[in-house]
Formats: sequence, C-alpha cells, structure tokens
Amino acid sequence: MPDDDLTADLLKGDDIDAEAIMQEIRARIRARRAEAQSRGFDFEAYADGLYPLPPDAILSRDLYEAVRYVGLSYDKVNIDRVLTETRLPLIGGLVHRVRAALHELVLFYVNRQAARQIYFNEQAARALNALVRDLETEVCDLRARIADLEANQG
Amino acid sequence: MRVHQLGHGLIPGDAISHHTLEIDRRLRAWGLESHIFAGHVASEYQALAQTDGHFHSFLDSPDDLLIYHYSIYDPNYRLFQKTLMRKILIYHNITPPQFFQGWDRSLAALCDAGRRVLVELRGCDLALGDSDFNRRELVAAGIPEEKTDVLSIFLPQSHFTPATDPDLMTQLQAQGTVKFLTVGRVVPNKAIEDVIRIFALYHRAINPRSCLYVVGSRYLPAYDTALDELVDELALNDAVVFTGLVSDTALKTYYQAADLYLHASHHEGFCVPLIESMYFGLPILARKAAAVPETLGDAGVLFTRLGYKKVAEMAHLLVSDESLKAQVIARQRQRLQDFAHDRVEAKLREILIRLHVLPA
Repeated sequence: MPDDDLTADLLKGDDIDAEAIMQEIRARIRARRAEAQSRGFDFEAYADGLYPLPPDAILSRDLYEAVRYVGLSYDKVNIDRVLTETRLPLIGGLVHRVRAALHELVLFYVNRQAARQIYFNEQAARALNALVRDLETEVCDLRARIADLEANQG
Repeated sequence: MRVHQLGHGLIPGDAISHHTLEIDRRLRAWGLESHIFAGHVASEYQALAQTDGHFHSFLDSPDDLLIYHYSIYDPNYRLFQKTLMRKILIYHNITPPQFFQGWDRSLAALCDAGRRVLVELRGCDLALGDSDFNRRELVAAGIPEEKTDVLSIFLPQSHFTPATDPDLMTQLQAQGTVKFLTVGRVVPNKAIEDVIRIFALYHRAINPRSCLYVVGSRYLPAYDTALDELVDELALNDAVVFTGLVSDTALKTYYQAADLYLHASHHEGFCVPLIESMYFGLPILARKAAAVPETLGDAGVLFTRLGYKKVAEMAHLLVSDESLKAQVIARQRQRLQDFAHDRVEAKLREILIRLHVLPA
C-alpha cells in the first residue's frame, strides 16, 4: 500500500487536524523504515503483512511465502457432513435419515480420496522444500564461484 | 393486550437475551401482559420464560403481538410464520457464511440457512434492525422500506458499572507495557489475524514493551490453530495473549488496564465492545466496515484499507499523544449518550404506539 493512500475520513471532527496527523504518520514511517534497515529488521515484511524472511534467505520472497503456505495447508482437507433440513411434512424425518445415510456413504469414499490427496500433497511439499534447499545451495555455490572468478580476473 | 417475545435462547451474559428481558420489563411497566419464549431457556431464567413449544397455544390469537428476535437459524421461525398475531421482527444480524467457509462448514451452513430464512420472514407488520446496517439487510431481503425501522439494543447496565479484579489488575499493571485490546468471539469475520499483524509491526518497529490481549471465546479449532501459528511465526508468543472467555469483572479489568481498543472486524451488526470501550475511556481504532462506523458515529478513529504501517503509527499516536487521545475519548463519551436506555425506551414506546399496541 503506497504511503500517499490516505483515507480522508480516518479522523473526524473539527478539532482534529487530520491532514497534519497523516503527515506526521508518513514522516514517522519513513524514519521507522530507515531505522529498521540500519538494524537489519525486515520492516517491509511486517508492513505488508508478510512473514519475515529466514535470516539466510537468498531466493525471492514470493517463493518463500509460497513454500510456507504449502507447508501449512497440505493436510487441510476439511470434509464433514452438511445436511440442510428437509421441509416435507410427515415424511421429512424419514427423508432426512435416508439422506444422512447416503451422505455417510459418499463421505466414506471421499475420505479415502482425501487421504490419498493429503499423502500426495505431503510428498509434493517435501519435494518442494528439498528443491528449494538444493537451489539455495546451488545459488550459494555459483555465487562463490563467480566471486572467485572475478577475483582471479582482477 | 398480550405481547409475546420469541427467540433462539435466553442465556445469562448474552446481549440479545438481555435486550429481550429489558423489553419485557418495559412492556409490563406499561400495563401489557408479557411472555417470553425461546428454543433454549437457561435454568436461571426458567421463572421468566418458557421453551418455544409452549407458544403453540397462543398461535391463533390475532389480537396479540409477537416480537421475534432473529439472530441465528432456529426452526422456531415457523411459529413466527404460522401465527395469526401481528408481528414485529427484530433482526440482530447473522454473519455471512463466507467468513466461515474453509474454517467450519457446519457453521457456514448454519449461517447460510439463517440468511436464507430471513427472506421467508417478510410477512411481518414491522421489521427492526438494531442498527441501520441491519435494517438495510432487511430491505435487501425484500421487506418494504416503509415497514422497517431501527431500534437500538438495551445495553446491559451491568457492563457499564465499574468493577475490577484486583489480582488481574495488579498483574496487568506490573508489566509496565502498552496494552492493545480486542474483544469478541475469536472468529474469522473479526479478522484477528489483521489485529495481530498490526500489533506485530507496532511491537517490532515502534514499541517492544507492548502486549496484545485477545479477549473472547475460542471455538473454531482450525482458525485458532492458524492464529497460533501466526503468533509463533511472528515470534510474538510473549506479547500476544488469548485469554479465552473471561468473567464480566475480568473483562472490565482488561478495559481499564488497556491503552487502546483495536478492532479489525469485517462484519458486525452492531458491536457492543465499541460501546464498552467508550464507557471505559479507551481510545478506539477500528476498521470502517459493516455497522462499525454507524455505532461509532463521530467517535473513535477509523481505518478503511489495511496499510499496517499507517494503522500501527496511528495506534502509537493514540497511546502516546495525550492531546489527541483526550479529544478522541471526549468524542467517544459524547457518543455513548446516544445509547442511553431512556432513548431506546422512547423509541420502543413510539413503535408500539405506531402499531396501536399502546395508546398515543
């Protein structure tokens, strides 16, 4: 969100100078950002609602966010029975019981599929994490070799 | 003249139950015969109310009036549909189901059913929202504008009397930290994750001597886990406290000990914690969403979009700039007067006169 994206009605009332307050807030944010950089604090990550990068991160922030999300969500397959009430008079209760039994049967098969999906997701998440680790090692190695080559050329 | 009130439950500590009892008290004072029915009646209230099955014997009484409190799906809406009485619907709002999708399908289905049924409650003489936001939802559900109005809720007086848990107060004050507070059920529409992220920025970049208290019941395991993981990832375990449900006295203690009320909810039909914060002189910083701006009126400070940087800096100003803080609190105290019982009572009386339940 850019700093100049002000909300005119953030502060209300004749006795409150909203514009002066917003100017002060902008100035404070600039100072805060500079101060954070000087002590290595990941200000933008917090400010943008992202997670702080790992201290040894060398790849893009988007990649780490995506890998993190995969790690959190690979086993979140929520399946449960949701039945709305039937409004049929007299036979409503019977219809409801039959529908409930059919739902249980469907859930039995869906849960089996879900378990397979979770297993696959887990393997994919492991593979992705391994790839990122390998990629980090590779990038570090290549950067070191480039540095060596540049040093030798000099 | 008999007036009946019907609702989902009559439970201690519940704002709608309290509203029902306050209406009942006034109906009796005005010489009307008053009955309360609910799907669930807590043991404390069994002398004052009956379960909704007992309402059947009154269904065919065209001269009576039924006031139906609607806040969640309940099969007793069919009694409201069936009765020959004149009918007032009071809509306390139902959270849109999308807020629960991905977290709790049963709850999402319940909210969905509740909102679908609202359309079927159109056959009433008058439909009331306890905020204009709720009233507009009634119009959107197909109730003619002229058949709608706003009746604010009778706020529980017990919430607005000073009380302190001395041990808890000592414990909170001993920390010497700036305390952010947010109150309410820990559910996705309250966007507790945004409160945590705003606080995280404040705590990391502005003032590390600070704490966030999230006061309210936790009952959605998937959402609770996600919030715990967020707190863990942001390394805020020592600074963010989920208190769970607390006693009234403990709640008041949190309000008194806190420095700022931070509210990021996407959906509120009214929002009692804002009024409580006004009473306890706590500056309010809240997202401009749903009924929140209406409840705040000209008071508090609103944010529209979530720029965490600005909101965190605004929070800092509200706790550190004494002049600004005093101005905001003064406006909040002024706004609090609009929710006084005598104003709600006058409006209720006017509505009953309009329906010829009371003489002009």
